[in-house]
This record gives sequence, structure tokens and C-alpha cells, in this order.
Amino acid sequence: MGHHINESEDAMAFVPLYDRYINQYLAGDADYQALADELLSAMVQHGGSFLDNRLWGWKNPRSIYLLPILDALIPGLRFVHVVRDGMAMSTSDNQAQLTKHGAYVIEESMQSLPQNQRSLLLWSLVNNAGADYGKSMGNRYFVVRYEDVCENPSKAFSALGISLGLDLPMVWDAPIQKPRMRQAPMSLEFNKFVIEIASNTFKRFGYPC
Amino acid sequence: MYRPLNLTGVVSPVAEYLIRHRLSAPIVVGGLGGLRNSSGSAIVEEPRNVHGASYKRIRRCHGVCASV
Repeated sequence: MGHHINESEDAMAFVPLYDRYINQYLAGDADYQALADELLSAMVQHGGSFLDNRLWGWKNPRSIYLLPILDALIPGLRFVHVVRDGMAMSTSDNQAQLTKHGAYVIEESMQSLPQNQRSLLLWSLVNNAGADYGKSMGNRYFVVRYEDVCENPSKAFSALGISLGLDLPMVWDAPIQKPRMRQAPMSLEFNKFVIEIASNTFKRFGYPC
Repeated sequence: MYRPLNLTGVVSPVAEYLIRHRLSAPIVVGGLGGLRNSSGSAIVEEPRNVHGASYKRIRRCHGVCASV
């Protein structure tokens, strides 16, 4: 969606905005007027001629950190919350969000934990916060599990499609290789941490724990 | 995680912009990422990761969401 997207289709126009304001917001120290002004600038930069389309928007994973602000500043905002198995997230080599924002989400006493534990904690905190806030958005909030998209995209997107008036194809234009079953966590210590810290979150989003 | 918002005195220029340009409210997609590593290669190349999905194939299939 939109101009200036990278190969992951992240909307790059929002990167400077998110870099500047996410940690400020999480620390309770953001200039909301400046944020609002820069948000519009990013939207215009991102949209370009696509802004004539009936449906438009942007994808950038870090949008979830600013969800309440985006919702407050953008009337009628619709938000698609993509969730992925926390076990995969915490064992991934990609820990960009943990690096950028972990210290502002995870309480200080937990910041000396091993990376995989902090990553799982971040996963739990961020997804719970997004889902809790999503309740206040009613039918403008959608949660989609990555694994469900791989399993059956038409079914996974059905609620979104109905809401947006989209006719989703029954057959998609390329074969889908489903994710393999997740591997067991590395250590007994990590297993214990998973159960203590994130078991309710796994259950909330329908993942085994 | 989310902080209480105090938007007293804040004027959002977004609403006016949407009205002026007759635009619908945007659809924003977000969530924790991780399908790709920092060097840009698909995580299927990383032995400790669990997803066997080809990033590019999935991306072509699902457009906006699957690459989050």
C-alpha cells in the first residue's frame, strides 16, 4: 500500500516518525502536537496518488506501539493487529523491535534477562496491550494470526474482507508453504519462563503453551 | 504499556485533511515483526527459526499482512 515501501512492504515514510516518537511516548514524554503534524506529513508522503483510492493505509509493524495515539489523531482509523507465535518471535534472529523499544516496554528489573526471555516478554506485553486497546475500537480492530494466514488466507481475512467489502479469492495466486511446527524452546529455564510469564498470552491468541 | 494520553490543546490536522481530500479512514497494519532478519534474508535460512514459509511467495500471496 502506498509509495516508498521496502521489500517487506513496510511504509518507509513512517520510519522517522516512529523512530522519533515511540520511545518518547512509551516514556511519557512525547510532544503530541508535533507528532500529529508529522503524522500528517508522513501520511501525505506515503499516500501520493494512492490517496484517491477508496481503501488505503499503510503497513509498518511498529504502528502497534502508537495505536492509542493513531486512534486519537485519525478519526475512523482501522487497525489490523498481526500476531505471530511468540515462540518463533523469541527465537528469531530478528530482534529489531526488542533492540529499539524493549527498554521502554520491559520494566527495569527484567532487563538483565537473557535475550530470548526479554523478547518473549516484549511479545506478551505488546500483543496484550494491542488487544486490550483493540477492544475499545470495536469493529475497527482486527486481529490476524500469521499462522492462520498461511493455513487459509481467505478464512483468516474473512472478517476483514467483510468489513472492507472485499471479495477475497478462494484460490490465491501462489502456493503457500505452511510454517513448520515450532521447535521446542532451548532450555528448562526458558520453558519455565514461558509458563510463568507468557502462558496466558499464548492462550489468549490461541497458541499452545 | 500504553501511556495515558493528554491531548488537551492538541489539534490533529489529519481529520481536516481526510475531509478535504474526501478520503476514507486509513487501514493500518501493525504487530511484532520477525519474518526477515536484519540483513534482509528470509528467516527460513536461519536454523533456529521455525517457519518454513518462503517470504517472497507468502508476500505475493497475501500482500499487506503476511510480511509483518
